Amino acid sequence: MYRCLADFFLVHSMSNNNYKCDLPQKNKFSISKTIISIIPWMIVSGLLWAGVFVKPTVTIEKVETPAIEPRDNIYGVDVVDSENIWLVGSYGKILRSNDSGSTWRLQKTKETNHFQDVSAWNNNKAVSVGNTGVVLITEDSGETWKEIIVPKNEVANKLLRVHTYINGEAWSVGEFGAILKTNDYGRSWGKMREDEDVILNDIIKINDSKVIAVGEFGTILISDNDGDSWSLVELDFDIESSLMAIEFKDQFNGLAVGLDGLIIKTEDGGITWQRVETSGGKVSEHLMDIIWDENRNVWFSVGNKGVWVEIDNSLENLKSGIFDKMDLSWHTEINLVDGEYVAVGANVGKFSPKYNKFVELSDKLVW
Amino acid sequence: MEKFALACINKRKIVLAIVCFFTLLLSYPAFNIDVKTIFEDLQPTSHKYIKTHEEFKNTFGGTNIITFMVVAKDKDIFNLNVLGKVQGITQGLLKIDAINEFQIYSLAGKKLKEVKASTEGIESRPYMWPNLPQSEKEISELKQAILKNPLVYGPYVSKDLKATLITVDFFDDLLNYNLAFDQAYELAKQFEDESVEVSVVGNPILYGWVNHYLPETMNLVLLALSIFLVLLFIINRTWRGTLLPLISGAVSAIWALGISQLCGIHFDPLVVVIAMLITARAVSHSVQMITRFHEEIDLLGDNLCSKIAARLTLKDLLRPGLLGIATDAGCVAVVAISPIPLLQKLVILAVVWVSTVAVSAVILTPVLLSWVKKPNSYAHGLNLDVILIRPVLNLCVKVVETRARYAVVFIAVTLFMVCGYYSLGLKVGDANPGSPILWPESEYNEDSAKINKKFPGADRMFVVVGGERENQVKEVEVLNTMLRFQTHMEAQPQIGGTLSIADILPEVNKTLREGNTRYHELGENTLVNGELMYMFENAAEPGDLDRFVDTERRNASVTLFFTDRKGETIQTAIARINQFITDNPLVNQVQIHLAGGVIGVIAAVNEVILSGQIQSIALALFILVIMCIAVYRSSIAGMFFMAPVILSNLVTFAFMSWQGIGMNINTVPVAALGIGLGVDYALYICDRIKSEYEKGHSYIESISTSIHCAGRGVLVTALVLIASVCVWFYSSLRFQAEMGLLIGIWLSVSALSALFLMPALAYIFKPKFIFSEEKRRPAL
Repeated sequence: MYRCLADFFLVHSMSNNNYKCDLPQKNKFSISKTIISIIPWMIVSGLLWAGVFVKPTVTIEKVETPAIEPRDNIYGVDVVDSENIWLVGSYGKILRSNDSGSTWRLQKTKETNHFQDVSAWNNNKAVSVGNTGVVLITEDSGETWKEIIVPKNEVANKLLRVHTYINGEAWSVGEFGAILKTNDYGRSWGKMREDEDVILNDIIKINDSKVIAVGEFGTILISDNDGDSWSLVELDFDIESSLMAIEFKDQFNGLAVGLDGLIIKTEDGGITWQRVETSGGKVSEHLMDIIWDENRNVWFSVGNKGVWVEIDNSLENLKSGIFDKMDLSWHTEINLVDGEYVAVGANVGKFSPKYNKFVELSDKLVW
Repeated sequence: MEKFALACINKRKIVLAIVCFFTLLLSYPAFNIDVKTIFEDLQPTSHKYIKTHEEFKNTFGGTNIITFMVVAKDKDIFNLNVLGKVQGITQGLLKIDAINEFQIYSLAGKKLKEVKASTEGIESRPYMWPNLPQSEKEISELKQAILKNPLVYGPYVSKDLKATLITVDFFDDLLNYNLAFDQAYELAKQFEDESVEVSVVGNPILYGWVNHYLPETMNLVLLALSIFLVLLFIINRTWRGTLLPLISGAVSAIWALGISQLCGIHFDPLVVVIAMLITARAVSHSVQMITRFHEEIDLLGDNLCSKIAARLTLKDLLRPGLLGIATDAGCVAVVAISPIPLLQKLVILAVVWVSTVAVSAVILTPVLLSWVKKPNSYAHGLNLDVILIRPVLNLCVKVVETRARYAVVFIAVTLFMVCGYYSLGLKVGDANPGSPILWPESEYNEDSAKINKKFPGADRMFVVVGGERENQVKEVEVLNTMLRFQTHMEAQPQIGGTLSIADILPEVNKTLREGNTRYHELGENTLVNGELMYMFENAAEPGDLDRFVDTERRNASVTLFFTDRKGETIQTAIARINQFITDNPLVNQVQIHLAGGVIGVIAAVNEVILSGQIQSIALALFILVIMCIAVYRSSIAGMFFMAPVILSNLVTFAFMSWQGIGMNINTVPVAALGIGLGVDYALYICDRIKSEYEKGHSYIESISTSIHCAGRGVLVTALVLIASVCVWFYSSLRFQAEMGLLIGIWLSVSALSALFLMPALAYIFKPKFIFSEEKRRPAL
């Protein structure tokens, strides 16, 4: 090796000595010789450098995050029209679809609380409510959401449902007997009832003045003066389970559903209630939401373990099933889109009653 | 060198006695060497993942987990027959040696429990321990209870209800793979019948399979040896030409294995192909010696001149022989930089083994040859020299003489560029799902595929979320971070699911709220979460939460279930974890520590291999270049000998990339050895050209003589070795078959480049270190 180095320097000195004798030829010779001598050493030092300093980079597969992620719990859904749908759920997630649910776009907010429900006045204006009494409104189709401070108590403030009505009116219910109302598209909210240690799970306004709320332990509250005063409906039968949702098909006929498959009916605008006794059998799963499907003339309800319940107009025949026998995801709300039902909860899917088929709108594992 | 050669031959009896003495001495330890695989040897101990793994493996899940999957062939698992078998297997686990009985998860075990609300708060009870359900009603209740629990329905009972998992962890230090393998399969077979199918996977099973094939591996070694001997006998046509290489190989094997055993190093059956490769080098050197000896004795033409011929042989071949051995040892020693104990032990074994070749082949063969007389006749009439070898060697000479030499260089350059391009696609880590050690259609890989189809993934990684303070993991921000982390990770398709304490608390919360799913969430604050955890603990047995949180509630685990072990999958997961850590630097002084479990360990190994990949190749080439420069005293020599090495390695890498063979812990030593060993053939050829030229021969004469003498040795050993390497294609271990194939390719490219490319390059460029005028005698 030393000799080699010596050769290298010798080449230089020789080239200098010979410079005067035969300039062009010897100069050319010396340069090529020098280069040839240098190259191996460059390779050697290059290898040493590579061995010590070069670290390979890793190629990472790009992971596309779906709009509806596997762990998302989507608690609330509202259908504005046949194309526009809003979803809200865990950790402040708000999603909007403009194509009947085929694709979803995330609407960003800074909220990290879970949203429980969403309701829209029109395509632009909507309100979303959730844990710790969080209320957000939008007036630009969800491009921006603004937080609204609402009356709260010191114990528990989770808001569970919200429903919008014409002229900017909306009602929301939640923990500790909360009933809130707005008349200006959600910009300001008033407390419509004193605090009480009961959870109210749903509320409905069935005409200009009558509002009915349902909740824990079979609680049914009714107001005939647009919420100024409330009376507790006395039932002539025992209910231990909570009522989770209420729906009316007109001013008089309504159904309420609840935990352990509870279904009760009223035919007089909520003054009196009876258990629904059908010939089709019973459901023991929790029922979380119910809607009236005018086109098919049926009531349709969803709940735990992927169960659905359909009751005909006469309330005599009950049919039940599971959306997907391989996927027993729970659902908290249901809504109608173009003759199909959008069910949300541990997953989001569309159920076609015509084909008796449930299509999930995202791939999802239940954990 | 002449003095050393003279001394060796003059004192041949002493040399032989010393070699015999050491061979006998080392025979006993050599034959008693431990043949086993230890998974822990794979773990690069200094790597931070391994430190996390070692700290938490006993509670959050080790690497030695066996998973049984019981699949009902009809309907679902909810009938007494299938449930009875699940119970039978679960109870049978207790009879398996070294199991950690606190880490058995099964529907029939104590750890999987139903959580229910009762008048006294939360109640939890095992699904079917100690007794099976007795009636159809109880079975139906069991089914409903499972369907309700997302911690069981999904992870332990498949979504289609047709399969259930039973997992068991082992105490690493007590585990014997062979025993666990036999006992686990015995248990599985005991309960398998026309109604259920039982699949078994896990590291102890995988390495159990490797050991299971040990007799087959030994048979293949014997078969390869037989093919090798027969071919050597056919080609060399003498007993000495057959037996002397065999003796060389055997002596170096005995020395290497004996020394390894004395150093406390065991022999991993997975490295048997590497062992064969090194033995092949011993044989190769020995054949060179014999070929040269025959040539010398032919020239001397006298039966009494064996000693002189042996001395001349030793003198002339000592330099290329020792240089070859030194480069082999130097290049393979570079692998020892890796912090992986398996590689370090392998390097010691390989360096010792390669070094013994210096004695067993380079010295012992000529010493033994000095007693051998010139052969009067050949052992059989089939002369392959005439039919095959000489025509090929003549072709080599013809190529150098004609313009075809440029074509050879052109082909080499093209091959260099094409293979260089394809080599870039070489993957680190396993390139395919399933274990690369076994064939895709092997029972183990099929079982593994079945389990991954039904469940979120059989292979696990855990990360530890923790800090310094007690009760830190009860904090709502910490639990929320864990859930966000899990959501983030599950976006990767190969992660079938994740599990942590943050999944349990919402279940408890929901149960307390009459099963209302709008309360399927963590408590609103730390106090509520503390209560939820307390309620669950109260209802459970001590230790039930151990797999999720430590007893001081300082650290919690998040377990990620992977559907495959592919290098890309793991790299992506690690990169995504790091991305999450960067985006969420510190939440209440809580940090996310990577990574334990099988996938955590593989991730650490892959990272070490990836960062060491360029390092080991560059440093091995560096050593090669420096040694060539030092021996030939020419910087050009270093460059010159890089050509065949780089070419053979690039072709091999390109083939690996094309065939989807990943660069993993099993292939790295082969690649490093390849660099060292790839130069041997070229060294013999070039050294002979040099010595012939120094004798006064012309360029072409020198090259022709070298090709016909040293080249014959190259061709013979390459042919014989490639043929014997082919037997590995029939190995039940895919890894051995692939390594056999790679070595076959690599031997072929090395031999072809030594025979065609190197003489052509030498003739075209006429480098001074070969064609030196200084020592050259006047032209003959």
